[in-house]
Amino acid sequence: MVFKWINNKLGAGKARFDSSAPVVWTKDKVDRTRSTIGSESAEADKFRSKGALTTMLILALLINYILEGFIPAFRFSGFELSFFIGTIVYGDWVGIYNLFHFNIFFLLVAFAVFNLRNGKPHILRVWLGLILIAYLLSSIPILNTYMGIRNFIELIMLIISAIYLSFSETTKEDFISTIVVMWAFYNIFFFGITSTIGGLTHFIFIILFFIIFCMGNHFAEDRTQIKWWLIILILFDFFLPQILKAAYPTIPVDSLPWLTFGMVIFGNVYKPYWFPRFLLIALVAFYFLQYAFAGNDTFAQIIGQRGADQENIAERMKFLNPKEWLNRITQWTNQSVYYASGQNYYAGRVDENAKKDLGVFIEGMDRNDKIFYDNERIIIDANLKAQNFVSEEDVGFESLTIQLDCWAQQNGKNFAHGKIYPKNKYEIDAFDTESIQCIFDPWQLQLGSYDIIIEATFNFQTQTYLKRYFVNTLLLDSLKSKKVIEKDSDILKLNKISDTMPSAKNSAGPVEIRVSDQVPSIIELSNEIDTKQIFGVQIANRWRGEIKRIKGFEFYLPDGIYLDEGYCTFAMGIDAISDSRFEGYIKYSLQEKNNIRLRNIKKEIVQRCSLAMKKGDIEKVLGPEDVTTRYIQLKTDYDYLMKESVGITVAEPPGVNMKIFSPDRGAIDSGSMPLCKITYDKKESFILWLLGAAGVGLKNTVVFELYAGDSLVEPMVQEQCTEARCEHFYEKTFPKGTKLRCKATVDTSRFDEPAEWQEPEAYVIVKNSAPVVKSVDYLRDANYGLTTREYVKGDIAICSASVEDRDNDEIIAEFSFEGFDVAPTTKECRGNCFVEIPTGSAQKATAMTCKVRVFDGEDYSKEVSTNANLVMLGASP
Amino acid sequence: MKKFYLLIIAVMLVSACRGSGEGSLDDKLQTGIDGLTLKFLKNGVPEVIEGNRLSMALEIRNEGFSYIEDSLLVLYTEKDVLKLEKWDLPGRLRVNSDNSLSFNLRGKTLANRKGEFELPSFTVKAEKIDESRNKIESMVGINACYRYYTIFSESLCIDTDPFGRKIASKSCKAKDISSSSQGAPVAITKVEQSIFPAETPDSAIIELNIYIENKGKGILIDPEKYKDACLGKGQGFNSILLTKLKFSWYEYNYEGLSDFECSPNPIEQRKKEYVVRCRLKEESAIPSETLTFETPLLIELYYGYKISDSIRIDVLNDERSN
Repeated sequence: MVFKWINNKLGAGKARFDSSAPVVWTKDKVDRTRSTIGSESAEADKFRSKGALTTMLILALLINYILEGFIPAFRFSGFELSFFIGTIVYGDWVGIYNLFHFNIFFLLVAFAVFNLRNGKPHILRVWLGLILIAYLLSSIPILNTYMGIRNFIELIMLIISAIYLSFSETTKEDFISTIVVMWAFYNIFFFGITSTIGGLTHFIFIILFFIIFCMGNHFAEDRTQIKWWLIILILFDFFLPQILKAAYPTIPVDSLPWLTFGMVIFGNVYKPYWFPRFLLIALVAFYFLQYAFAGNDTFAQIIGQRGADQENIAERMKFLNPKEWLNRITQWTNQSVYYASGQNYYAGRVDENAKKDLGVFIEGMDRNDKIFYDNERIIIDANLKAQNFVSEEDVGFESLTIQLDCWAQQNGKNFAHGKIYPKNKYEIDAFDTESIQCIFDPWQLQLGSYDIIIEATFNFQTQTYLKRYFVNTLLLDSLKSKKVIEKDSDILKLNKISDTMPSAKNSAGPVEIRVSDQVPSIIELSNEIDTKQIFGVQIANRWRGEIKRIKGFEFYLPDGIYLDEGYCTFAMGIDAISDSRFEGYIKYSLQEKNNIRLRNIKKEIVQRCSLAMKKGDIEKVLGPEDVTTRYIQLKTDYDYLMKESVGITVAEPPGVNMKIFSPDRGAIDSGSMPLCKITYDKKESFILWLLGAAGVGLKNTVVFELYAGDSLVEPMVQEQCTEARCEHFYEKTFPKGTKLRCKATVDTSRFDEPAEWQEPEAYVIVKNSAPVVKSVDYLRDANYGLTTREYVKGDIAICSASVEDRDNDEIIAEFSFEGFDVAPTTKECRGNCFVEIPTGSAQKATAMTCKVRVFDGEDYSKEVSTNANLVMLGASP
Repeated sequence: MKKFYLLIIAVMLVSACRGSGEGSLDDKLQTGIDGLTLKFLKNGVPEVIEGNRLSMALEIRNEGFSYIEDSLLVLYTEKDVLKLEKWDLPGRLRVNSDNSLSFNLRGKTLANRKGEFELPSFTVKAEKIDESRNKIESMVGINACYRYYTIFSESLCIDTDPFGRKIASKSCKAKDISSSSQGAPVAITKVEQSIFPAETPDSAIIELNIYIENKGKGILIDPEKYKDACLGKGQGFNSILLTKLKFSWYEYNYEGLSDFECSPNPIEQRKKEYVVRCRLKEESAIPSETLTFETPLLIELYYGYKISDSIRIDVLNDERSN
């Protein structure tokens, strides 16, 4: 049999051996012949696989670079994912299950697992299984719906799989890999891959790949692995481009040659000979150079949209930053959620041409030490950097005023208030960097972990421009009726306008203005009817922090475009323009600036308005060109609160220590009484020290002294100390600024303890006591102090506060109001003060809240508030 | 060695072959799918500092065969960012009161195979941009509207005996005429002919189906209102008029007596093509004794055409330019 096989291999039909002369086949001769044939066969296989791979690589290159490069109809950039996103984000799991035809897939895999036990199919089991499943599925309605074979094609697939399992020799792994490939082909086909010529081309390529590599005997050894690689290639070419496109909409990643990329990777894994290696190097080098050259303007012209100047390289490099990926996916998911839930999606972004680093930044906090002792001053260093984008020459110039504050927080709540050094208020005209410190006094923070938060409140501005295209509706209708264009956006392409979906472009800073996707890129204007267009705008917080208050909001609309003033969420009104840049524009400003909803905004608020373009005014908007580009400018002024934090731990210092603090307030202020306490962290020696040589149970005596300045506060006091308690409480308060020194004398002469442990002492400066708002009331009459809970429209409401400061500091009271459009007021306050609020302009009955907080130059009090009702004349209370 | 010599001879013979139908010099001029072309003469993306001016030149060239008379060119800007200040024109161009340009240009001739051209230049002024931007990307666009002719001239074989009943041998073979371009953006791509017996005995009616494509980069507009299309008032689009068709002594004129009935005229778009059918009238039927003959076929189309182009201009912040 072996000889017959050899004969056949060496040339059928041609007598390589003279049959008349008997050949003596020794074992050696057989082995040598066999190995020659084997190596010839191996060589043939190697040649075949290289040939197949080379062919597929060249084909991929031809498709991506030649066909798609020169014939736009052949361009294919993966499946449009919006349907999938909607299904997945909306949580329609049943829909997803059905969408991907998981039912038939799971059935076939289960089939394989059940029937391929021991590597051999049992024919009878296969057919019985098939019949059973078909019978069950047809008769059970529930299964029919979710598990059933839903169509004829799936049934055919099941039958073919059964036949294949019954008659071919296959392993479980190979069968499963085949099923997965078939399932992928099936899904791709039903997703509509053949509906475009480009998609069809890629689909044919995949089929060709399968035929060459996965069928026949040539690549039998590697077949299973190749099938899994085919799945990866399908994901690469059909799904990855649009996934990346959604994550990075400004970068044309979907136009990259993903089919070639996938094949090159496959080639380098499967058969890494010179050609796939060369392609890998060439592609990487080419695209890297292309990206690098994108910084050059000349090259930017050549490569069109991929052009990026130096400032944009940093933005583009975010592609490599995993955090940026997360942000993009979050944004992408948010967008999908909005669409899925039917809400409007608001889009806007920082203009890539905007000046960067505008705003206020607190940097360098993470470079501080993280562990402090409670008996030391805790100092956190930071750098304050501020850049104002409005320069002194500009109209409306306003310097940046930054108010700093710092807190120690535990579990999200403010625990202690720190001091900012050298000062807590800065006025910045253009650009400045300052070193600042947040300082906590010794023992102000108890032992434990804290977040030290430095807050900066500053006034800032965001400017946004929105480009929109205006077209005469008659022109659009005419172009459509004459089939020059199919849809509105085609008119942009016709006029060589490449920016077909302009989004709101913001200046840099903590706040972004976004525009609703309900505002179309192209707005049609008519000579016959007035045009109204919903114009929704969102003011969104971009940074970690919050918008304390929106102080102003302005729309600058080109002449001919008006705001339908009655339709805005927050009332807007026409205002005079002082900036000559806006000549030919109409300015609308926010009217109700004291609306409570315009304060403390953590995420966003929406201003919904409506634009109106009158039929008689379209000549003011439209130019002679088919598509007129106009810019709408938006501006918002606000106070922003930003925070930066660093975590620290306050620990017990080593050895023996004296603490001087207030048991209830921590740091000692002019209203608290000091406690002098000895602490020790090493139990062993401390016990010995305390007990002496007398043994367990005996106490040691410690003498405490408290000095205010140089004067002893009261006679020396002796306390019996144990490990648990070694302290003395002084029932006395001290004015702020007093230097208190607490000293204890301990007899450690009998032991080898450090000398400084014999007389531990500590210093503290008595802090300022925060002022207190004792009460806030509404009064009928400021002179008589009669409180009231109700006013009638037209009355003068009087909000009165009673305040106190232990240190007799000058107090400034801040009055703010809710429920009524009244601006906040600050005034000096000694003991009592009040603010009068005229109610004549009230439009409706409301509850008025008056809130008061006082400041003594160092600390703020807690805020106290009171309420009263405002009723209309003639209305019942 | 013999084979080698044979190979050499074969190569020489093949290389000596010339393409068929070199045609006359005129035919060479009547090729191409361009009419008026527009080009901004600037490399890279032009930049201008806010508040300053930028001058640029255009090339407008008639790369087609027909003469362009009194065409209109309109330049437009994003007027919130850039404003057109003035034109700087060579003598033959004329600025209208609305800052549009009017001009005439000859097409390709033997003396000027690339077509006549002009190089007007313009100056735009950049507005002040908002101080928070380093630059704003704006654009300048141009629209040009003109009237044009496509003149198709090929040989047509009229087979008066399609069923081969006559004894006389035919001097030519009737077939459809294909063509790719005629030196104009609108090209006649195919002419199909059919012969039918006429009502009059012993005579035949010829019917020509003419297929037309807009191969240029612009759009078709009403030739009588072509200026409106450039001034934002246009509503007449996709207009092609078959003004003349002639072969032998048979003639069609859009306005006037004709031997043909051509419809639809103005020609309508059908999918991506424009198709007009011209059928010889009964009274002009070809007598059957006329032998098959070859004759020049002339078709003239008349239409308005509009092309556009744009260029990006970056307006830089004053500070950034320092």
